[in-house]
Amino acid sequence: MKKKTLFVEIGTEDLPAKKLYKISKLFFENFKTELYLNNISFKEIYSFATSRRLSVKVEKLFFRNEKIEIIEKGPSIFNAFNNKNKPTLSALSWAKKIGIKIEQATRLKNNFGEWIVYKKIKKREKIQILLIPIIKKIIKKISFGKLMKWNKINQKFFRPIRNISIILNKQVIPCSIFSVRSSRIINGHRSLGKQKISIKEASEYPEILIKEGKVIPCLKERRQIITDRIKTIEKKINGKIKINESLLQEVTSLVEYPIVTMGSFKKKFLVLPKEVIIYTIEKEQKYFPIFNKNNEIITFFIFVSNIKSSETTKIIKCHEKVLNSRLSDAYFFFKKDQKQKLKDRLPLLKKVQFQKKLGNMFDKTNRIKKIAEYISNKTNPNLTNKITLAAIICKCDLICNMVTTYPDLQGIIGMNYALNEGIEQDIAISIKEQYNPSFLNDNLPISKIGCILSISDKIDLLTGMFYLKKYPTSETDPFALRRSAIGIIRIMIKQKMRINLKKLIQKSSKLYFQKQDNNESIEKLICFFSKRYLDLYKKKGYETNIIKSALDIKHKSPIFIDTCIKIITNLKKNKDYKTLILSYKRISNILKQSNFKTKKTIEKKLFQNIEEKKLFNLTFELEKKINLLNDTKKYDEIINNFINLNKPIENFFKKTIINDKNKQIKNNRLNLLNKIKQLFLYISDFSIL
Amino acid sequence: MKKKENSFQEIIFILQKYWSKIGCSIIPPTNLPVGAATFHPNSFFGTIDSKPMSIAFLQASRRPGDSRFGKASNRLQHYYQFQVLIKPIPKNILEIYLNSLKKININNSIDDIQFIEDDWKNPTLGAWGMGWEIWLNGMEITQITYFQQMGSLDCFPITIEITYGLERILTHIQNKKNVYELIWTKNYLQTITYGQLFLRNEIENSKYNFEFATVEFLIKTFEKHLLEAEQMLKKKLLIPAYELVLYANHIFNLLESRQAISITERQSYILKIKELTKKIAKLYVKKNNNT
Repeated sequence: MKKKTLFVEIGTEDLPAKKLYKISKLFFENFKTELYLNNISFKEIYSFATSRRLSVKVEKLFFRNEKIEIIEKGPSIFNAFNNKNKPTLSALSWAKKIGIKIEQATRLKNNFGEWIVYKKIKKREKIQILLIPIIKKIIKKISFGKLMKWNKINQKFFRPIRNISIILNKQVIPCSIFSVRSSRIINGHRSLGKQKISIKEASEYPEILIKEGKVIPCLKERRQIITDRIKTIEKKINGKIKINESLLQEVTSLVEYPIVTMGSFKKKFLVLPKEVIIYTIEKEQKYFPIFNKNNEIITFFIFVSNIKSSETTKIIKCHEKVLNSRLSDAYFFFKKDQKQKLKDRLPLLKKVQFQKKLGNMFDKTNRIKKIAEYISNKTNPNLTNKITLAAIICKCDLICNMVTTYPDLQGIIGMNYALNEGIEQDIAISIKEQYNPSFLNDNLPISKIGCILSISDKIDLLTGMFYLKKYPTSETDPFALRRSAIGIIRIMIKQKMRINLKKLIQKSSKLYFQKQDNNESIEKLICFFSKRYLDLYKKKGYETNIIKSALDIKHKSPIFIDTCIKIITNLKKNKDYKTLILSYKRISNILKQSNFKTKKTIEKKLFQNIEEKKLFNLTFELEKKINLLNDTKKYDEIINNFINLNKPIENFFKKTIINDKNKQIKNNRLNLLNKIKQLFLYISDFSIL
Repeated sequence: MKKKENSFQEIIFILQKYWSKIGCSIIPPTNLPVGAATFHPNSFFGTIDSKPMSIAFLQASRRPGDSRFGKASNRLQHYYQFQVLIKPIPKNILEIYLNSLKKININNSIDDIQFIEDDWKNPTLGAWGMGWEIWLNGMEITQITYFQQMGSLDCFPITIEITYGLERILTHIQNKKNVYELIWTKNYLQTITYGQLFLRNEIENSKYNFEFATVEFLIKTFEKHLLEAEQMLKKKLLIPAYELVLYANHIFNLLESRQAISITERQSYILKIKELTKKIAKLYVKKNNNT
């Protein structure tokens, strides 16, 4: 069979630029997979994507094997022949239906039974017929994030599909996808090129689109053009441009014919916090900021347009006007903000409601201060003075005009203003860091003060919201409570803070409601934290029952829970793990049956045999190690100590009868067993392992 | 060639005429304070409805948070949108839109026009859609949205919304740096600027929005409006209920510009309004299905 060239283009309204790289990749990968699954091979395949099209060109397309074997399955042998070994009516009608004589049928036997079958050798369907369902399937399979509908059809895509072109050599493959009929027409650039281009032959693509349509359809090529131009400008003005990868991908995806140009903004805006300028340039305007050798931002910027205009100066002027006007908006507020110090804004927080029934932001600041001091007294007593100051000003930027205008920059503005006022650097940074982590895998705060503020802010939110019974549902979490709880856990583990979560919750709750009994919501919140632990560690690949066994928020600090989960996970890999579990269960059962109220004291002199003494010594040793656990990371030793208990426990049970006639001896033995049990429990609830 | 007319009023006329020719009914704006033309009762109910719709209108919109005391060159707490709503949507709708720009002297072979993805959403209306901000040389001049949900209900068939930001378009067309210098009217009798018409409004209302609106008064009025809306809902008077929500929504915006609401509290205000628009939308669909 002759090898063919295929060209497919899905013409769309402008696709989302932030997603185009991913969409294009999925389109391309799915295309290759589907061709493979349909036995179609090729020599070369090329991917193209612009804001208005997803295309693929395949060269030298051919079937790996032209013929396929199709097995027509008939009735089972039992039903196909009667007891005289003559074909039954159902066998005959099956043969008639598929158009063969019954003698032509053969048999097929497998584990499930035996049937009469007919093996048919069939020539494949033509590629052109196969292609239609393939392309439909590919489009359906590229789906992630939000999709949309655009007419009366119930199908969805990223943006409306308006044009479809499928050409095999010279032939248009007729079909209708998303109620768009295929043709040989594709769209050129909206303003630069020929609007409608007719493709005579698949092989003409992409040259014809580049030449007549003034579109550069290859993502890589457009990206190269943009980076090359940026580097030229960088050299020319002797500046430094840190190309933001996601911005580069976005602008590459936004255009079909990239033109890279430089503009400048007014010098007076350089007094603005660097983050504000960068935010405006990158996030709001999709331009590239430029820096000097000292990493200071300079007044130039780079933008990418989609048109080669006869009036470049006008376009530059327009972009400059937009940026200047945005920056002047920021400048207006910045100047206004300078009139008042952060600390002096504190009383103004009274007019900002935190949450109805939970008071205003001034009240919240006071609570944060007390929680932060509580934590720092336990973890970093030497920092308490700084933490008090940080807590007092940490929310003050919320009433700055800048933050009202750029809510995304809360904290960052506060940090900048604090630095301007000459406040110590670590305190200033903590104002920014209190909001970290602000999304699932966001960075944690680095400064100690930032960590403590972040925990305080989040625990205050959680306690308050749980008191109001505003729990998140499976679909919505408008107050970001899950994220906050996970944030607290992550910070405490990272910082190795030995803070008991239950006590922290109680402390925070007391600050809200001194007199009220609030146990119900405290219990609920503890339960909520447990679930977050489960989620967090399940995602890390730990086993559910191991996490559950170690998860005792009421008695353990987050870092200790982390340690225990790791110990048990490693312990489980040990070959004697199962014996250990059995030992534990045996001890636990005996204690249960004995109904004896155990005491902590164990008297050495009451031991009768060597096994008892040995077991006691080992237990004692393990306890010492466990008590040191918080300060070491020697999981292996502890694991060995546990495993080493196996044999002595076994010997103990072999050689010792617990129910000694002497009550004192008996009770002493039970006390020893209980001691062992408590050591196990200290690490994990072994009964659920 | 005839000299091109480019006064503010002239551009409105051209757009009205253009979309009228396309088949739109040019309807009056809503007389209530709204933050955007999307809040127009015809937009809200028309988008939920399954019947065809082609309308266009000029809408004054208020955004207290954008108050700049008449000092910013292009940010206003009161400004004009030209809104088009069409369902079912013509296949060449973007071309139709780009042609409308040509009618008002914006030519995409000279100026750079880009379609910036924008997953638009309005939480108080329980609405979201997908589309673009249309950028003209880096400046947003239009928002185009395919509504997917309104009143927290799925839309079907889908309506497209095209919203022109007239002040921005005009500063470009008239090549002015400052919105207040724009020519609103120019004829043999008089020349009137945007500043003459609106500067005083901007200055005084900015003071109201940012400095003097009484927070306690606003909080009380907000709650009363929502209560009243609930009452009307019980009587199945959907349009009064919806209009009361619009008032409440505007008051919520004022509370925000007075910086009287924290981010956390903001959520619960939004949820309250959203609950109501959802109830109104549901009842509207139910009523429609019964008749």
